[in-house]
Amino acid sequence: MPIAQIHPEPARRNDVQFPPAVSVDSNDVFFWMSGATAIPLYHMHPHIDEECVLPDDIREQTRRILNTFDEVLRFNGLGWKDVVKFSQFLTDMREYDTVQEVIADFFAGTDWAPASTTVGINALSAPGARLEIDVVAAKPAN
Amino acid sequence: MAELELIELDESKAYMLPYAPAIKVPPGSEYYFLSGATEVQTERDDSGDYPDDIREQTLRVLNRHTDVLEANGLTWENVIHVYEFLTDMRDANIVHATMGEFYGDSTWKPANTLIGVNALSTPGARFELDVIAAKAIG
Repeated sequence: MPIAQIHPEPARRNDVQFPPAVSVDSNDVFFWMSGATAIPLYHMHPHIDEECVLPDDIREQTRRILNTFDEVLRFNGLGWKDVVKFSQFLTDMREYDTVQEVIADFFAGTDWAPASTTVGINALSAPGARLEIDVVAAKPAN
Repeated sequence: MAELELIELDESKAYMLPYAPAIKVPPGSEYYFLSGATEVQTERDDSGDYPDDIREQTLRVLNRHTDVLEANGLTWENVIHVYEFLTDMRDANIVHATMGEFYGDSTWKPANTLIGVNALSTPGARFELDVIAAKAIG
């Protein structure tokens, strides 16, 4: 069974950026990725201030996060079409539309979008971080 | 033999992270989705007598999950992803240090998503941990 979007109302599939559900096969290989903010993937713990300085601009933060996942995906021989689930955590829900625009840019040309959950939260691990995303990807086993 | 795989993009920097950038789960694995746990010890423990200390809270949370893992024949090396929900992000370092103790000498560490939240289900709870575990088959 191929990875597929589930649209209970197929006529309205273009009304949503993300499908209501995505089906996967238990015989797929799964990749569970840590949540990322806009700071570099590898950074010291406990955090040190110099590594946690971020641009305030949400568009730039979103790009950096998605570039991090682009790197993790490529490292594993995956692409954006293999992403089955996004979880998005925003500190300011007014930035939702801008975040989705940047996400759409990364999926451009794939005719694919994952299932997605977005939640407004209090705080993230780096001061000034406005967005955290985590990703689950899957692909058929060879 | 199929195994869970810890994915590091740069082994020379692996020491920097108390979590894995990603975990790769082979085809046909069994999955276990554990409910989020706070310091409340059992479903029926509504005594309200909970410690404020974040390390003590973290130990209780981890012990609860240990019980669930062991009941299913699993260990912390089967844990592939955790959501950490904290009411105070300043507690993160103590939480990570305490979780590290549960891994002992193991080099395993799960993927991790850390979120600061407003409130948890138990008044006074500062930490909730949601766990996904997997067991490779064959």
